[in-house]
Amino acid sequence: MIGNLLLLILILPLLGALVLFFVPRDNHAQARAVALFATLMPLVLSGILYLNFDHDTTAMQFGIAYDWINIANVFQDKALTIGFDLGVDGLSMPFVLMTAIVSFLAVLASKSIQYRAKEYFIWLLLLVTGLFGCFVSLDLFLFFLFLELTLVPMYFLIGIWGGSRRGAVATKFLVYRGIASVGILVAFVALAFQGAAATGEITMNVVTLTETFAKAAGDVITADFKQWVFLVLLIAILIEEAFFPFHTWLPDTHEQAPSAISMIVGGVLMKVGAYILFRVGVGILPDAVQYFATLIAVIGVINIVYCAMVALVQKDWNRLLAFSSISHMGAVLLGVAALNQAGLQGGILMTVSSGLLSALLFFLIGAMKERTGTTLIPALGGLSKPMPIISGFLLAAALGSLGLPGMSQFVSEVVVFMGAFASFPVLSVVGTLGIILAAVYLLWAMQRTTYGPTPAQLEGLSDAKAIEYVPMVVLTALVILIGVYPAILGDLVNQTIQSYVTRIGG
Amino acid sequence: MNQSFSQLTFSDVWAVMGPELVLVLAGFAILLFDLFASKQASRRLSPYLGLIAVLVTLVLVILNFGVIADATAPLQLSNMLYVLDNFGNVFKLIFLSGAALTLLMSIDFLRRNPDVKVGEYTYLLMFATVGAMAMASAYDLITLFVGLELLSICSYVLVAIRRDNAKSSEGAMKYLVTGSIATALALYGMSFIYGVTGQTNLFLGREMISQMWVELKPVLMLGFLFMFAGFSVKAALAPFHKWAPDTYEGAANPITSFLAVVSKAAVFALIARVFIWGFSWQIGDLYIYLAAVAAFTMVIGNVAALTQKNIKRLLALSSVAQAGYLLIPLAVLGKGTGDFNIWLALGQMSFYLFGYLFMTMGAFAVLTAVTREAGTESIDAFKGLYKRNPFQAVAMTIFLLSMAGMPITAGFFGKFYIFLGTINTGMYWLGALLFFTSAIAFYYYFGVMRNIFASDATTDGKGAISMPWSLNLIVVIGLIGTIGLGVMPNLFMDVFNGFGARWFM
Repeated sequence: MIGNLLLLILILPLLGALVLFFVPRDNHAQARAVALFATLMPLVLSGILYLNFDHDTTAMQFGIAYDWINIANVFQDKALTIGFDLGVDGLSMPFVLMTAIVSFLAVLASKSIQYRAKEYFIWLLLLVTGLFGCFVSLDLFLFFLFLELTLVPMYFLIGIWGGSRRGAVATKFLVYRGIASVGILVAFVALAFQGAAATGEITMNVVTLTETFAKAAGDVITADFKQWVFLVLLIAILIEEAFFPFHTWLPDTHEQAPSAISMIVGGVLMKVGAYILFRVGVGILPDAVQYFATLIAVIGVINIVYCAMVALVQKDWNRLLAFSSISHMGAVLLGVAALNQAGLQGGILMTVSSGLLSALLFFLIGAMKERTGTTLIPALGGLSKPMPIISGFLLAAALGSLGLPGMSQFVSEVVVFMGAFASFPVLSVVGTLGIILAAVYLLWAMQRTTYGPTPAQLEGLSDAKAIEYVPMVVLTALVILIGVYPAILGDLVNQTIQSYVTRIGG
Repeated sequence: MNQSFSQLTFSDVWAVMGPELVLVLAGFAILLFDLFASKQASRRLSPYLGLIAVLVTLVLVILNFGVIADATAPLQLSNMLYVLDNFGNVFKLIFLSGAALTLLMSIDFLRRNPDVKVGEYTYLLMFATVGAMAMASAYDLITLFVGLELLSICSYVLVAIRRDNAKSSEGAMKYLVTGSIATALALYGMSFIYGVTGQTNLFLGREMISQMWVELKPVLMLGFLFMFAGFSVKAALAPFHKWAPDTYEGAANPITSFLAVVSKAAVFALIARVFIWGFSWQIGDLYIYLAAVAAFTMVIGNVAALTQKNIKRLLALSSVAQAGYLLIPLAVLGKGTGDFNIWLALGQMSFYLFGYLFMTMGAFAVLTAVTREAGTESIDAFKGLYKRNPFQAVAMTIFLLSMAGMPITAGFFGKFYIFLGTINTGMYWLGALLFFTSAIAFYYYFGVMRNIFASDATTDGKGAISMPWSLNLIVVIGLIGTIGLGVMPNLFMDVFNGFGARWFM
């Protein structure tokens, strides 16, 4: 049972999607029940996974390995064996947990979907399968396959259930991320062939490749090669993570997507790129990261400051949050560029924290929109009177997001900047501007939304219903838990980060 | 190996070209049947007879794999004029499967178009397939050319077979004119090769080509380029692809799918044979032209398809783009000329063609039913398909996803397989372009899919679209093939990989 946990986590949402095909079209309650069950089970299983996780090793755990495809003559006479290899280590574990939590909560938050609910949940479960797959695959081919798998459901989820510009935005999402995939695939396959040149055996297994690249001498795998592969990967990740100047698709996506889907996008999908950056960038090509460290740090700071400034002038909550999340993820780049224990650990903390807060904020905005019919800040106001609970949680989330001590964002920022100051003092000072700007745009937006006189059309709106407490409370609790006891996450990732840092030092 | 025509016995001929003989004789039999049987009997039975003949031939081709494996000497006629080898046999498998599915698709088409002459239609299709088979199994330029002409001439007539249809005539006219110029070009190129080497046989002539390369490089190069240009027209490679949208649109659906699959695969067999055999030692000088055409084709095909609103024109341009992908395995041989590279390239081409066969045939089967019901070939015809026919909608989505190269389909793995070759030989730009243009292609493939899943007031409440059993069967076969090759590619790949050095004998 424990041995097959990962397989179960991966397959249950997929099975759920298959079962949904046989649910009657008009039975929305039944469709939702199936979807809930198909995401609750992986949540429970990943809880078991967490409890059985060994904190003291850097090895892959809960491994599953089957040979899947055998392609002959790929590298001279050697065959490339693509494995159905699954496993988690300290790096992927937080992402798996986050996927499990956010996807379950997103299904809960989808209760207002009445239009073609069955299809909606089929696509949603396929999306969740793809996301789990990304984080548990050890074979880069498999990883890429799951990454591509997320594109199709996302296209339809935006394109059918999205806002007024859904068609164009769905296509934009698809093409941007499709092009990002090109860079990712080129980099992955180039790594595989270069690894083969070093060892004589070709593989796409990320663990083997990490070892190969760590051991290979400088004349077998040249610094030149590493640098250009990393550059390709970096550009792909910049598109994938919607960093400036490739950022325009994310605000559009958040604006048009249904709020439950925004939760998944902000909470999990937008963290896949960061995961690649850690797993492949820092894990396999640390020298190249080091070579481009200044560039990465500069891009990170530009994103922190520029996107925070853009967030300042947004009139739509969804767009504001999109820019805010890009700004926060900029800090991840800064942490990675620092290439020290604190920087990397802070980067992961920041990724997780930004994911949880994004999910929470998008849920709250969605709940607000359901009642007021809008996410435009000028059209809102005085909401604390009709809906004190939602407004309260929104305030908590906003405070968390701007880095109130005791919440996850504060810890992440402290750790990231601690690491970053050691390597890039000047850039880090500029980067901290982002924290100040975050306070400005978030509090200002809060003030316009929840305080002041309540417009007549917003009076008498209902507050949170029982079921809505679940996502609000769970996510807020997690944000606070990480905030007051960051070791819960730190212990998970520590060993893996340690092993990366040792390699950079040596 | 010295064997003149007079010494050939029937059993020699049968051993090497048995399947072709069966198909030709069956074609003539249907011709006679059409002549003597009552009109009604011919209408009703001809396509089935043709289908049976094609299936019998298919079985013979499969049995031939065993014959080749057991053979100790090359199975050939008249000094490698015509051969039986694994390379040709794999392609024949594609042609015959394609022809069988085309005939299956035709049953419904012929039933609904009483003015089309059924007997003629059937035997022309069979003769065209024989032409394709000759293109896959000859080393001699003349034999190859005869195969090409047989396929082309039958195809011209097949495109024009709906005589009262203006679009059909227009498409056929364009196809005929461009096609004739193409064959002329190819023949002109061949004459250069013959002029220099004194040989029409590539197997025997390639040493000569290699020797003369130093001295007469410009002439040989010109010969090659003329041939390649001629073949490119036939395979609808850019910039020689302009006829394809019009012809694909004008032809009846079964014929369009035949052109897209069988005709295209045959030309690729021809290009591969000529390129890998005749010019195997000059690849280093020539690959750049193939790479350029491949790159150009991928870009032009996918960009031109962006604005298409007619589903058949869209698929025509998509098939142009696919031809670009298919040329990549040959183009990368310039940077890696080892035997392993050649086997890899052949494996990639055959795999992709099989995947292409299944997804294209399946897509055409669905679109036949959908466009007929809607009375238009606009992609709007697909609006609301999911509500009306969930099975066909999901099937069409899977075919389109496969063409777009999305996971767990044949198209995805096929592209990845081809992509491996580009990185292996260091032609990163070509591999990147392959996936980059595929990402652009998402735009139009997903546009169709969005129509499928969109709800539409004009079709809401209408009942399911009727699908005759033959089309449903094609869809099921297409689905099994598309997903099967995507999930378990080894089922097919292991067959190719088993050939190893015995691709060519």
